[in-house]
Amino acid sequence: MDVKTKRRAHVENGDEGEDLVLATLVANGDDISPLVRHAFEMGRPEGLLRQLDFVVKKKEAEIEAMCKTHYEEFILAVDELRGVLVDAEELKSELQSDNFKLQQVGTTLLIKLEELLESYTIKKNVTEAIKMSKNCIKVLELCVKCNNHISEGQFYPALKTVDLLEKCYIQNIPARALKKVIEKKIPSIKLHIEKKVCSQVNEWMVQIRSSCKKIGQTAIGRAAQVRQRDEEMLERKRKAEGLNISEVDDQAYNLVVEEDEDSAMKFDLTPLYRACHIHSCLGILEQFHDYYYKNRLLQLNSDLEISSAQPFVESHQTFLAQIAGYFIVEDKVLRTAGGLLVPDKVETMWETALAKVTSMLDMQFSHMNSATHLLLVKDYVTLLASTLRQYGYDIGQLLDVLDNSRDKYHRLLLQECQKQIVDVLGKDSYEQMVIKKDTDYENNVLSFNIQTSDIMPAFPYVAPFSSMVPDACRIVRSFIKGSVDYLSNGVRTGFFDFVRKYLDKFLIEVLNETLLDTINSGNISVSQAMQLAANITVLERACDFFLRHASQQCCISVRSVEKPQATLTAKVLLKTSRDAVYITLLSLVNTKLDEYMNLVESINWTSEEAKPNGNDYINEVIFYLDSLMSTAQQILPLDAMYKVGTSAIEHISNTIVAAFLSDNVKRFNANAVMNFNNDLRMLESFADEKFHCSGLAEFYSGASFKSCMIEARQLMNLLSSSQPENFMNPVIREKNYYALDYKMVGSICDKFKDSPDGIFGSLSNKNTKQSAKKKSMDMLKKRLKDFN
Amino acid sequence: MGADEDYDYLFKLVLIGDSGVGKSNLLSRFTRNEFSLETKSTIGVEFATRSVPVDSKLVKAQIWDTAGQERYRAITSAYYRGAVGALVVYDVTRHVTFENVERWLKELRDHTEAYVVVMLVGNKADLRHLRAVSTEEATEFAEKESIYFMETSALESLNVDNAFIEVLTQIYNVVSRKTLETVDDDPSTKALPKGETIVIGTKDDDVSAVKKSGCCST
Repeated sequence: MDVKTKRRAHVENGDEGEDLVLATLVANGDDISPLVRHAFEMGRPEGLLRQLDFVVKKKEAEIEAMCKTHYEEFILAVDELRGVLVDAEELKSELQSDNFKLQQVGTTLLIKLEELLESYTIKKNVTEAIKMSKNCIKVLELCVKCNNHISEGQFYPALKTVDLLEKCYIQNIPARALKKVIEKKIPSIKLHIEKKVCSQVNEWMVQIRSSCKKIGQTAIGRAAQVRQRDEEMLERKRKAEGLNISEVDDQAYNLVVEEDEDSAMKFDLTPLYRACHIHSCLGILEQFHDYYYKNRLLQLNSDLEISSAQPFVESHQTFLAQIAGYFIVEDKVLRTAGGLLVPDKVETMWETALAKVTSMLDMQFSHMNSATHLLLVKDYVTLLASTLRQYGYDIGQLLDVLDNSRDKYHRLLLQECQKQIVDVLGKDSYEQMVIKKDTDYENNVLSFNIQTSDIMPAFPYVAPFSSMVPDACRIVRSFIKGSVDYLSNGVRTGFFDFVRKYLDKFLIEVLNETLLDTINSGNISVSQAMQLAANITVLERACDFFLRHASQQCCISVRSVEKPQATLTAKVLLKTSRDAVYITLLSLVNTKLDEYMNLVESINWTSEEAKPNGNDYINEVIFYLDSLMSTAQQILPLDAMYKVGTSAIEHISNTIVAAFLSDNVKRFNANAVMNFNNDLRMLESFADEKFHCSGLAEFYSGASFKSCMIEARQLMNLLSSSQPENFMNPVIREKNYYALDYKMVGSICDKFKDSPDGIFGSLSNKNTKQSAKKKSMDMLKKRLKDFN
Repeated sequence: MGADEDYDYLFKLVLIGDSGVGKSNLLSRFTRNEFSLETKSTIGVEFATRSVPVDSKLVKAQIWDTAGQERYRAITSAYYRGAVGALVVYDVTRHVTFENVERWLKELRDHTEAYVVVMLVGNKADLRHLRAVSTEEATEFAEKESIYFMETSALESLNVDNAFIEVLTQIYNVVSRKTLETVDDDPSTKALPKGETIVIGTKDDDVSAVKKSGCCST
């Protein structure tokens, strides 16, 4: 404490104020660095250095003063220190001894301590290892979980686990080896899941493909049921239309039936939804979309390949049902699979299928040679079309194929019906049909509207037509049905014009042509020709029924087809054919008459005596004419009957005149003329009787069958006249012989030679009369010769 | 090269069938265990070999592969000459390739001996979702034709070895049976040299017996 007091005294005695400040700062322990920095920054450190030297000198002086004052105390202190040194040496020795003892005693404890420390280290490491292991266990548990999910096919939870591993754990795995393994396995797992899911999708595709046929068949079956109900409604409408009921209450038939979903239509798309979800989690959804589209398109192309082992008519239903099922599935996938398919893709698929199906149908239709087959396929195609239309697919091209095959179908139908018509005509007996009871009358007459009166006749009823007529009508009706069957049900609306066109074509090209072939064949007899004419008359009338029936089948109003312009062209042509058969009939009749009237050979042109009952042939002719006219009266219209009569009688007249003109007749006498005159009288008598009895007189009041024999009659009158020279008198000729020709009369008169050379000629009373006539005839001959 | 190898028999097999059914991949899978996704058409003729043990004998199979198209078929007779076995391949996903098998069989029989061992092979069996030829249909056909039948997948290496080894085994059975008969007939042939191709005369009974043993489909 003294030292301190003295030091303070020196400080207080300082001479300079500045030195005092610095010394105070140093004594207080203050920081003088700002002062030092300031001095050097100012560039004048000399002042500061001088002050610091001063402080140093003062301190040194103080130290020397202190040393002088206390030198004795120093000596004493050193002595004490020397004593302490000895004590310290003793203490050192004791300590060494104690230390040795402690070492001996504590050796075992030291070992324990080392063990303890080691255990602490181990504990730390183990704790760290346990911590790491827990992390690893957690990771491995997730891996096991993931594996379990994969084993059980639960790929979404597996992916969730993988995702969790990838995002939350993989960076923190302490074990590098494990980390590497997991990092390596994650892509493999994802790839495995992808392959597994694709495999499931392939499995689903196999299953859905085998289900498609059933799905399609079920859907098409429903379309068929709907069509069946529509057909029933249509049938009622047709009947109502036939009855000319102006309005039909359709409400009565609008029965809405709720149908339970068929089991086939409940196909399962779950594997597909699941696969979409998995691929979405994997981040490769687009890749899966492409995969699905590509493989389904491949399946479609495979389905579109048709086997040539089986006829198309047998395999087409299975084939088309498969296609229908395919697109029903794709429609559902499009609607429910959340973007797996887009409308453009389905449209491409549909266009692929459409192009293939239409070209195949075109090819198959072109190869078919049976209308029935074509109709079968068409029917199923229209069902397919109406089925897929409900799912939003454009079916225009399918219907176009059917339209394009329309002519083919009708050509085949024509051919088939033609065979039937030819068969019917070939087997016809050409006898009037005998109907024994009312049901037969209903089936063969009323159903084709070919009755002659609205009153049910008494039975047995002899119809004017033969059995060929109702048979042909049935064939025509089946043709109409076949045509309507093809053209209806989805082909196009308003197809009546087509049906009518094809009906006309059938009646003209098949029925009419077949009739004409029969007429022109030269194999039919007079009675057959007459029956044919009667049949054609009835068929002509039946054309109105055919047209009405066609309109009914097409559900067209009956009134609209009753207009004049709505008549079938076939009706006109049938009329022409009827005229043709009349011509044939007349030709046959005339041929037959020629057989009876072989006058040149069978007549004695220079007979010695007259025959009051005429020549032998005339009875045959009259008998034939009688049966001919009787038959005609039964089955032909009056105008046709009249035509037959006039033609036959006119032919007889011409034959007689031709006989007189024949080169084979060199001469004839008055008896021959007398006989022919008798023939004519008998014929005229028959003609008058038949004309009146048949009712023709009522319709042809100004006419007569006799007028057809005018030429022969006038010739006979001339040759029988006592004054034949009057022929040259214009007035008399115009009145009595206008039908005779000069040349013809001249030729015939030249052949007229009486019997002047008879044995008893000169003795007879007739001699005078005959001579007078002879003179007149000779004069006529001379004048005619001069005239010609 | 071939002379240096040690083998007991050398059998020539031919692969026939429509273009694109997978003949070349069957060959490469069997001989080199390779599969190519490229659809490159075979030009002319290729062949490869592989030796397999059959009944303690080493059989070297020389397998000839050809194009299925018409334009590469000028060397048909050379292709078939000396063949003792044939694999007629079709694609199960294309029915037309199966329908053409009959034509291939006819061509095979026109150019080979009656004792040739024939196996019908339906390839691409892994494409189950595109299958167009059912196993039953092919089995029925094979039975009718008295030939063996297997379905394979060159892609998945399914049944490929089995098909070839089955054919080789059947050929070996025919050959060894005839060899025994030959040995019995003529003792001097006991010293048959190794590696020489054996040409066996026609004996219908044995071939029929083999063929009538039925098909071995999977």
